[in-house]
Amino acid sequence: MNHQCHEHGEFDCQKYVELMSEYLDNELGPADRELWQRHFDGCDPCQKFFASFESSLDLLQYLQKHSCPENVAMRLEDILKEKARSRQQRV
Amino acid sequence: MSQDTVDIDSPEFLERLRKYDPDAFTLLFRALKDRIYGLALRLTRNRDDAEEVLQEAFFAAFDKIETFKGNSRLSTWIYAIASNAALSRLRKKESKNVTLTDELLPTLEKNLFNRGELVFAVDPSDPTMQHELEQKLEEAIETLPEGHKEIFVMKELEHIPIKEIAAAFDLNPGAVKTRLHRARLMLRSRLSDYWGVPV
Repeated sequence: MNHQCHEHGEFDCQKYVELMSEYLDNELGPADRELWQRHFDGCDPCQKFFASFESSLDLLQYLQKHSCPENVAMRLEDILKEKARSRQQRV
Repeated sequence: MSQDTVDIDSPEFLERLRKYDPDAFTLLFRALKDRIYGLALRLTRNRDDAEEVLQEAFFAAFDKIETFKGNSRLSTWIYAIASNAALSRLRKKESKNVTLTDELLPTLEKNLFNRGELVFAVDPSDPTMQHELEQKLEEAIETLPEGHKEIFVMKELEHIPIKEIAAAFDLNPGAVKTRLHRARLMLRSRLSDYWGVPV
């Protein structure tokens, strides 16, 4: 780790990184959330780490949505429908 | 019933599927085909494999519909089937991804913490950079270890709740959260170019 947190030891920073997802997903209990926030407010490296952590997830919005090719969709839809008809007749 | 109004996660719709109503299967397929295909393509990064996975997932759902217990939404259940099919296909291709073990985590997180100032090296909203960014994101996701990648994609791209993912993969929610967190840390690390500093 190349940063020194002046208010807390390195273990604290490590611990807070471990809890970042739970903080982000709003899944920390009130007491842990307060502890997390207190550390965060006093730790500049953790603030920067969290900013890049959160931003990397924000970048996912730039991913293109993929659509199933039309010919594949039509073929599979027909097969599924036929399978269902066939099963219905057997039941 | 039109595709726009059908609720594929409703008990009534499930009942139609269990009676092998052909129209219900058509509606189910139309409702999910693009998302399942997208998930499969994201996991396999191969169009032929994605098509095979799509077919495998819907055929398996058809065959197993009577065993669906309703622990998760039907759509999540089919995502999980598709994820497993995609990963099985990758395994057969002898994917060289290394599964992250618990022992490696402290070292990984220690390395991930090694960073400097938060500065964007590129502007992700710049249209000329978008293709590169998209490629980088796809690569970053592709190289996530098995057991993490499918959870990451389902949570971050499909926005499926953790409880649902856990139920679909028969995992406890804590394990899903841990894997999701590791995957997020790895994504951050692999997008280091965008922070302007080595991480």
